[in-house]
Parts: sequence; C-alpha cells; structure tokens
Amino acid sequence: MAMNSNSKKSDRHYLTGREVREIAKQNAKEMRRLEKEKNRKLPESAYVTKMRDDGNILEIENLHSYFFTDQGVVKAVNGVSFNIPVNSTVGVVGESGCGKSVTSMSVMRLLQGPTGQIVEGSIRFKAFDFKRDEKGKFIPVYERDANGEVVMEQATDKKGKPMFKNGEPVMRPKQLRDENGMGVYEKEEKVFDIAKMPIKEMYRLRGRQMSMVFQEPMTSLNPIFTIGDQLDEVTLLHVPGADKKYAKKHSIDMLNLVGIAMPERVYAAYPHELSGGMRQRVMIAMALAGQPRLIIADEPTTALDVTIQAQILTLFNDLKKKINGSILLITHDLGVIAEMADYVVVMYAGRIIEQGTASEIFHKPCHPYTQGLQKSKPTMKSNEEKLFNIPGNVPNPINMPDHCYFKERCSKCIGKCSGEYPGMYQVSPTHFVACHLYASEAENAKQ
Amino acid sequence: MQNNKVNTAEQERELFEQRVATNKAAIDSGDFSNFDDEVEFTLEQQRKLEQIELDKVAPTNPEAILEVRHLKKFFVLKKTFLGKPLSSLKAVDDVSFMVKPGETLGIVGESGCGKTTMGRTILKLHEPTDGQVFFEGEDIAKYSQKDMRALRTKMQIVFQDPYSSLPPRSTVGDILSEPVKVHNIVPQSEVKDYVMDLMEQCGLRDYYYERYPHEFSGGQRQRICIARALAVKPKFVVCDEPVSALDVSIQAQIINLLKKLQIERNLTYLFISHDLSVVKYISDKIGIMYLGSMVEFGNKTDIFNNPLHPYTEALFSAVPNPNPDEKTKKIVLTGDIPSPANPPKGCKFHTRCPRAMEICKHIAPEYKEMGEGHFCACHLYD
Repeated sequence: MAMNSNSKKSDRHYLTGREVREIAKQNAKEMRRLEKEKNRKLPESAYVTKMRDDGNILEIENLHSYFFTDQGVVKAVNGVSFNIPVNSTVGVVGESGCGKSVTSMSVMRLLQGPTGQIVEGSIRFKAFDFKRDEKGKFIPVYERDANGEVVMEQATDKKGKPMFKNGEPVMRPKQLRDENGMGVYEKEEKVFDIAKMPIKEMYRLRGRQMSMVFQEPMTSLNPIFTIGDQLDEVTLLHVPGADKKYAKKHSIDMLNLVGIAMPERVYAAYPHELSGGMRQRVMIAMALAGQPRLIIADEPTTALDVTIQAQILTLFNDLKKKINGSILLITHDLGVIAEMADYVVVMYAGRIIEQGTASEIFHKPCHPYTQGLQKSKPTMKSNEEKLFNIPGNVPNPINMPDHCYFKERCSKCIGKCSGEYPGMYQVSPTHFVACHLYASEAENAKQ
Repeated sequence: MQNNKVNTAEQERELFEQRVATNKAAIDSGDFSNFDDEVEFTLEQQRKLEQIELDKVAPTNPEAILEVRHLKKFFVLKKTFLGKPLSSLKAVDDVSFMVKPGETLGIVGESGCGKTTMGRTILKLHEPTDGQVFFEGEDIAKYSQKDMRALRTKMQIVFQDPYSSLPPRSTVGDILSEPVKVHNIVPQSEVKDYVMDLMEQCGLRDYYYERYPHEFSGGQRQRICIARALAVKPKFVVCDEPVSALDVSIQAQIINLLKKLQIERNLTYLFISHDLSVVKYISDKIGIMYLGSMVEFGNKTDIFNNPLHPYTEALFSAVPNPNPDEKTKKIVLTGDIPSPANPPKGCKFHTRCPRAMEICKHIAPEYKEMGEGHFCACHLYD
C-alpha cells in the first residue's frame, strides 16, 4: 500500500484531492486580483505609451499569459517578445500547445477569463483612433472655404426637414463628408498598452483597429443569423453615423473584395448554406469591414483543402497591398509561412526559440527544433528514404523544468543545456536564437 | 393497335439514331451549339454498362491482393412514396484500380471527393451499390456481414481521428486484447504476452497497458489505433488520414512507424490523405480522385514527374513551397468543389478547369491507360 502511494506521487500527472483543493484556493486568489485589475476604471494616460521603434505597429514585450487550472498554473505564453513592422507579415509557427494561439488571443484580450490571464508584460499597439473631447465624444472635421472659414449650413431634424427657431433658420457648421457620404471625424495616432488597458476600452480597438480571422470557419459564424446580419453589425458598430443602407452597401463591397462571386446571394444566406472556403472568405470580409490596420489570422487555412488554401493565401497577399495593413499569421504549416511571411517567429512550449527573416529561418535554421521541424516534413521535391523525426513529445506545460525545454528531445545537447534556460543569442542583425550552441557565435558577431 | 405501337418504337429508334448522328457531326466539326446532352448521356450509360458486363467475367489479376472494378457507392437522398430512390449522392462513382501485395496505394483528393467512402466501401463498412471488390481473388462485394467477420483478420482500418476512435472506458490492454480474443489469434493464456509484444513494436511502453486513452497525447493514441488494427495480423490495412490530426514532428514518427511495420509484416496499405507531400513520401502508387471518380492513377514517379490531368497539376502547384525565395507561378483553381449530389455534366472538373474546352462541357472523358500503368481521364489526350 505504501509503495502504491509512492508510485502515484512520483507520477507527475497524479494529484491528490487535497493538493487540487490547495492549488484551486491559491489560484482563486490570484484570479480575483487579476480580474479586478481587468475591470477597474483607469484614466487614459495610464495606458497610453510610446513605441520603442516608430516603424512598428505592434510590439510585444515579455508577455506572460497563464492559465490557472486546478492541476497547476499553465504558463502558455512565457516571456514572448517580438515586433510587427508596418506593412509586413509576421508568421508564428509551432506545434499545438506551444502558445501561438494564446499569444494572438492575448493581443486581442480575448483570453477566456477568469482562468486565462495576462500576468505580466506589455503589448504596445499603434492605433489611429478617433480624437475625443472632454466628454468622450468624437470631434467632427468641418468644411472650410477658401478663406479658411467654417462653412455653415441649415440644421435638419432626424427626418431631414429643415429646422427653424422663432421663424429663423437654425444654422450649424457643415461637417466634411467622404465619398460614401459618411461624416469625417478627427483622428490621431495613439499608442496603447493593450496589456494594461481596462477590458471595456478594448471595444475601441477590436474590429476597428485590429481584427481576427479565427481558425474554424465552421464554428465561428453564428448559425442563426444571415451573413448579411453578421457583416452589417461590424459596420454599424465601428463607422460613426452609419445606417443600415450604408452598412449593406459596405458589406457587399467587402464580399466583393474577398472574391465572392454572387455577393447579394451570399449576403442573404445563412452560414450552413456556404462551403468551407466561402465561410472563411466571409470571416475575412468580416475582419476587413472595420478597415483595421492589423489583421490577426489564427490558422486561417488549416481546416481547408489545398486548392482552397491557395485561393485564400493569394487573397491575403492581395489584400495586404490593398488595405496597407500588417498581418500576424499563426500557423503550424511551414510551407504557408514560407509563402506568406516576411519575418518568422518559432515558438516552443510557450517561449520563442528562434526568430528572424523568412529566408534566414528557412535557409539557415539554427535551433535544433527548427531544423528538426523542417526535416520532419516531407516536401514535394525531396526524395529521402527515411523521414527525420524528433523523438518524444512536447513537455507537460505544468511544472516546466528550469533548463532548456527542448533538452529531452534534442540531439545536440551539450553540458551547458542542464543549466539555466538559454537567453536569446544574436546570430545576425535580424536573427535571434535561444540555444546554448550559439553562445560563442553570438560573441563573435558582437565583436 | 399492336402495329401502331411497333411503329412508334421504330420511329423512336430512328429518331434516336438521327440525334446520335447529329451529335457525332457536332463532335467532328467541334461546334457544340446543337449538341444533345440527353442522347450523349444515354449513350454513355450504355457504353458503361457494356464495359461493366465485359469486365464482370474477366479473370482476376493473380498478382493483385486487391482489385476493385467499377465500384459505386450512392447515398440515397430522396425516396418516392414507395421507397424507390429518387435522387442520390454519388460518393463513389465507377472507380477501378488494383493493388499488389506489399505496395502502398495513396489516394489523394479534396474533402468531399469520396476518398474516405471508398476506403470504407472496400472494407464493406458501407454496402457497395454496385461493382466488384476482389480480395485475394474472391469477390467480397457479395459477402454477407457474417462472412466478412472472418475476413476482418485480413483487412483492417486505422481511422482519422485518434481522439474519437478509442473507447474512453477501456484500458489500452482491453482495447488491444479484444480483437485478439474475438478472432482467436493466440491461445487465451498467451494473449497478454502477445499484446505486450505488439505494443513494443508500435512504440508503446509496457506500463501503458493499464492506462486509459484520455491519458495519452494524439500521437500515442494513433499508435494505439495502429496497434489495434495490427493485432489480428492483417495483410491489408486502410489508413484513413492517419496523420492529419497530428503535429508535424509527431506526424513524422507515425509515418516512420507505418513504414517500419510495412517492411516487418509485409503489409499492403491503402493510404488516404489530402496531404500530397505525405502521400508522396509513403506511396508506391497514387490515385487522384475528384467528385467520386478517379481522374488519374499511376506510379509515384509518373504522377509526380509527369502529371497528365489538369486537376493533378493544380493540386501540386497549390502545395505551399517551404522555400521563401522560390516564388513559383501557381495555378489557382477558382470556385469550390461542386456538390456530389448534383455533379456537372460532361467532365466533372470542367467548371474549375483552367484548360477546359467546349467538348468537356458535354462529353465525359474516358478513363484509359495513357502510359504503362498510368491512367487518366481527360479530353486533352484524346
């Protein structure tokens, strides 16, 4: 009996009821604190910051996102830092459970609370937000004549009838309108620290400044509303002064943009009437409807066939040029990354193990994991006899060891690997790797 | 009265022949404006039936372990009041091929093209609508489920999703020993040793014997599924997308395991996948399916170095190239795969084909041998 309990204790997966309760109690305390922080009101100055480098649209620095489960704390994202330059595509690769989706969810502040929380770090995002007055209202831009004077017009009521007061027409300044007839408001560039923002303020950013294309088009559309209803909602929420007529026009434009052949018919259809590829296009149209500056695509093609995948990837590449935005592309397919990304981030067990430009990662991979990942995927051109395989599995995310997480599966271990977790070594100006093998090389590069 | 009837039948025949003649003239001149699709459809059905009758009596290939002739599987969508099928979904529509022992046949296609249904129909997990399946020279399409039970020791399947294909309330030991006990593979007393041995071969540790499926990761579960299929010492295994639910590094482990076991046990695989690079790596022969039909079939080298069908070409060019500096020109197919309940007339691929001609819209191409063992169905090579 005694032996039995011992063997159970040594098994890392097994926890006694008492242990589980203890962990749950500690977690509850921590979660309550973080939830409170998320919901409290803050003045804007508390979360407006400055970018480190003005060429970036998003800077993630030392991000820690944890899940407080009853088995222990899962450090899904454990100190991740990378930047997304303006007008570029950054690809994040890794196997399932390496924290790539959690990183993107953290950027959108969509982690499922109260278990999932951003614990530490900052996410700086350069937004092009509406300017607000003291009351929090948008400031309109007025039409000016040649002398710089504000043009006045007669005010109308809601039905469009001209308004009179004491027999005199009521005058008001004329607001500038864009080609669609929507009122123009003053905008300004502001940098927000998303990690510190109260969760309510995120409505200002989501959809309008950054939007997300989710992994499964089958489940991310609401089955009881038509495509039109769901697309219109974005416009109605994010374009000030938009009415239903304008929303419909805009939605159909968006469906056209993503290459749907009969947009009017799709507009009136329900999600179940569309194929997987069409649904994914609708998801992309929805993401674009608010004209965001950053699109986060979380495995946008995983559920699709190769021929449809090729269509969607071509579409993304075209759209990036059209809307002049940046893309954060998350995928496990190295081929997709190679076709799309300018910069690549490789993640393993919640940490970045290698980052660099696409050609650096694909032609000169440094980390043994990146090398293994590339060799273990059969390609169309190669003719190898036996596939290389990385032995073992991804380690249990609870109770991670102190040394390099890849040590147990690595074929190039050196003595130093049992020591502390390796830092990021710089191999070239844009290429970083977290592996002790490159310590000396990095020293040389510095000198 | 009777005379009158004969007359009408004769007249009809004459009329039909006339229409056939106009169609022939249309094909010769290349002008399809007056083409009669109905007549072509009737003729096509006649031709097919004749071919099927011819093939029915043909002797089986002694070299083949599995020979499939004109296999069809239709799912009835609508029935009349009396239960007659009114419309049906042609999931597998007239597929023929042959596999030699020790070979791997890879089946590629988009989702909804009927590759999984074909794999299941061969194993009689679906009752075939028509056609013959010869396993070791015997037509098993006519076998009853009772007869099939004895054959299950020779043919097995590994399913796609390792998360849902293992019973959650049985331990690994139970899962693996059940088929051994049912089919009396080894005496009762040796079952445990046999299962332990099997687990070792499939890369599972011996202490997993007492564990439940939920305690394992996807890769380990797929190993359990493979071990379960191999427990009855089969000769032929259908692998239905065995690696598509797994991560890249785990994928390589499972593919290597399948290859190792194939050499050790001289297994024959029917490997169904949508991932071309995986199929290329594991297969000797490859069949490409589109909307229930085989559009191209041949040796791996022939298919990859010399793809004939435009769909095959498009499929190959759509695979992302893991070299960022090589930007290849892609053939991007427009549109989606049409519904198999209502497939297009003529060649099924003509709606998306970048090289479609006028003839493709009206006449279905014949599936014939182009090179040695290289079959293709396309009008480009008439």
